[in-house]
Amino acid sequence: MKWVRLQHGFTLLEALVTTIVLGVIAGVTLPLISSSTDVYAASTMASKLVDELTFSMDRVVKVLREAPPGNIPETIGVASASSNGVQFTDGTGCRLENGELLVRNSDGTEGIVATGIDSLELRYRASDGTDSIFTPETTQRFEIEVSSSGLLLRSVAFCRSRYGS
Amino acid sequence: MSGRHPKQYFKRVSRQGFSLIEAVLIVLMISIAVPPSIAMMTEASRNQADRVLLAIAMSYAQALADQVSADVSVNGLDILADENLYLNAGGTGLWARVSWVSAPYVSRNLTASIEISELIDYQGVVSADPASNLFRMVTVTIGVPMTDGQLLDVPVSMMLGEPNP
Repeated sequence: MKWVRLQHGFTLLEALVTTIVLGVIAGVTLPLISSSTDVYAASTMASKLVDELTFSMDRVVKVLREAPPGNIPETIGVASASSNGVQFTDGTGCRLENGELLVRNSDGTEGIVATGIDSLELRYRASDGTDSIFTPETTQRFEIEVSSSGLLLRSVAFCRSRYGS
Repeated sequence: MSGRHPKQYFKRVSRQGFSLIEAVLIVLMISIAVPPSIAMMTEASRNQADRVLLAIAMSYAQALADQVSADVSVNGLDILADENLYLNAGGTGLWARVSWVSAPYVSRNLTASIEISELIDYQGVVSADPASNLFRMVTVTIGVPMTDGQLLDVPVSMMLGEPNP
């Protein structure tokens, strides 16, 4: 009887060699792929976080820079002041509540600038650099700290209405 | 009568698997394609890391610029006359006063320098008429260590005038 070979697949030897080669290549490349995708994911997250945090800082700095002048010369108009929020007499301001950074417009409406903010710290500084939180109307500039997920930014906002005083 | 002849169901089908050389070729092609993919992801990660540092650097530059503006506002343009004294005076120099603000940026290996021009006119040049020289150009430069090992200088300039001329 004549046998006819109908299927030409791998021989056992071929399959073994291919498997071994694939295994060696996978062993070398998979850790590389894994680590590079991890790094890529981490850098993407960091980039997004920095975008949100710099945007938050920009909005806070803008509000503080535009603090209105007070009734008395060489002052700004402050309605309420604390280390994590301020409201000016023209209705504008900013504050942190439950991880939400809120910016208040002059018409009294508040908008959420960012969520997931860990801390907002405002330091009130008079013209001579001393702490003015207890006399906030004498504030000439603010020092600001905003942090989220371990990333921390600090900045300075000079109240433009105090220019020349 | 429509129907296939029973023999058609036993038609010889030639099924051929991969040969060893084909399998090796596939493996080779994969091994050629993977390294560039990893390189692309690594490059993208580096670009994002650089972008993060640049965004942070802009925040730092803005903070220093506002601090200089605040100093000029209260002390006049004369405070910038002696650059070294203004920046480095022990305890009262700018670098000492912004140490709290600078801390998170310094920890990321960002460097900062400030250059103050001599008195210039509104066109940015020293005028023959001393009475026209009422301004100083202040340039804040942030040094950003890029992932390729280079140091990128990010300069931000502003022209300051006498607040009470």
